[in-house]
Order: sequence, then structure tokens, then C-alpha cells
Amino acid sequence: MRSERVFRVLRNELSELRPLSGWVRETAKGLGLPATTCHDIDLCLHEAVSNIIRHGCSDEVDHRVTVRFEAAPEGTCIQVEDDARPFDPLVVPLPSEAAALEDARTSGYGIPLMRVLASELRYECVDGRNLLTLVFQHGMRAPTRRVPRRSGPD
Amino acid sequence: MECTHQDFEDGVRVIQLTGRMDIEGNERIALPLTIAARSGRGAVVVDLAGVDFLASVGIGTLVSLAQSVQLQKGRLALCGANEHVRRALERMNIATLIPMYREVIEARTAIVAPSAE
Repeated sequence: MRSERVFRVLRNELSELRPLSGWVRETAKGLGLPATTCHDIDLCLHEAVSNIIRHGCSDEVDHRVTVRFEAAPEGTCIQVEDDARPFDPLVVPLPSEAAALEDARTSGYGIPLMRVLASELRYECVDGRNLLTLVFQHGMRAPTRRVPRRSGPD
Repeated sequence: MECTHQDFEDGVRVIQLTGRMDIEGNERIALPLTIAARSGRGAVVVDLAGVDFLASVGIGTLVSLAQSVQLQKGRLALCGANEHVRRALERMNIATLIPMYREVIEARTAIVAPSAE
């Protein structure tokens, strides 16, 4: 496995998500990353970038999302930078575990997925730009962070 | 993303999903999936063997589907999830709410059993 840094700039359109996924998978595979890491990066980026496009770019202005991919033997670091409205996904509270099917959420799984699949998440807002960093440590499972059980519906 | 279904003599409708259940895939099959689940006889198995990617939007669709079937006094189970799809569902605690099986036959047997949860 070798270290490499690559960039991709996306327009804030949902149609960019599949090409992004193709690029991510090809890059990760080319770098010899484990299959699980390839999948987790693909999924986390889908969640992160789709959130930016759907929730952060609600104005009529063109925005750009930049994805940086840096792989090293000890782990892979993905940075997602955008100029959409400031948003820190790390302050979003994790949903509590539903006691029964009828109490379960039908949305809102994106940020929790990122937080359990990535080994580490970091957020900064620099000069009005969001910078989300996701770290995936190779060969190491993300800690099992089950959400707390709640005793009844909201 | 594709959604097809097959009805079996035990009254179970098995819905097969194939493809990538991301935003685009989910949008394509959400309605036919819901129709297929709700127009069956109340015993539904969703076969995920052909799903190679399950995003959060897909998880939401599966939960909504299971809730919808339950509201009609039916039962829904999942089966065939690959390692990655299964892990996503387990990490989001969905596996504790919707029964999951490895094979279609296991799911069919469980869902028609009188004591199945």
C-alpha cells in the first residue's frame, strides 16, 4: 500500500454522487485498501456529500465540494471541504435506540452511520468553509458504538 | 436498482432487490417496493442478496416498509444481506427491530411460523 493524495471537485448536484462513488472505489482499490475500508469510505462519503448537497446548498448558488483522499499504511484520511452553510455533524445528537419497530426512525441514519464506520471524525469551519475529516484505520474495526437504549417513544 | 417479487405457496411474498440502494436507487424503487409489500398477503421477505450498497436513505425505506406491513397486521423479514449491508443494519440497531436471516428459506419458514416475532 502506498501513500497518495488525490482531489476531486464536485458540483452541488446529487447526480455527482455515483461518479464520486466510482472514483472513490477505483482509488481505494488501486491503493490496495481492504474491501471493508473501501466500502466504508464509499458509504461515509455518500452520506457526507449528500447531506451537503441536500441540506447545505438550499440556495440557488453554485457550490463546490472538494474531496481529498490520502492513504498511508496506518490509515486513510478523507477530507470533505465545501462552501455551503456552516454545519458541524459532530454536534448532532445520536438517536437513541428504538424499543420497538413502531418507534424507529425512518430517516436520520446518515450521520450516525458516519460516526460508527469511521475511526475518527473531525470538523472545522475555516474562513467560512466546512472541513470534515474522516479517518479510517486499516484492519481495525471502528469501536462498537451502539446508541443508548431508550425506554419509550419521544 | 431493481425490485421484483415472487409469491410462494406458503403465502410468503419474497421481494428481491438488486443494485445500489443509494439516493438514486432508493428513489427508483421506493414506490414499487412499498406497493409490492402492501399488496401481498401480509408475510413479506425482502431479499437483499442483490444489494451491494445500502445507504441511510435505504435503511429508512426498509424501516418504513416494515412499519407499514406491521400496521396491516403483517410481518416482514430481511434476508441475504452481504457483510457490508448487514453491518450497516446491525450498527444502526435495525437488526433488533426487523428479523434478519441469511437465506430466503430461513426467512420464509420463520415468518409463517405461528410463534415468529
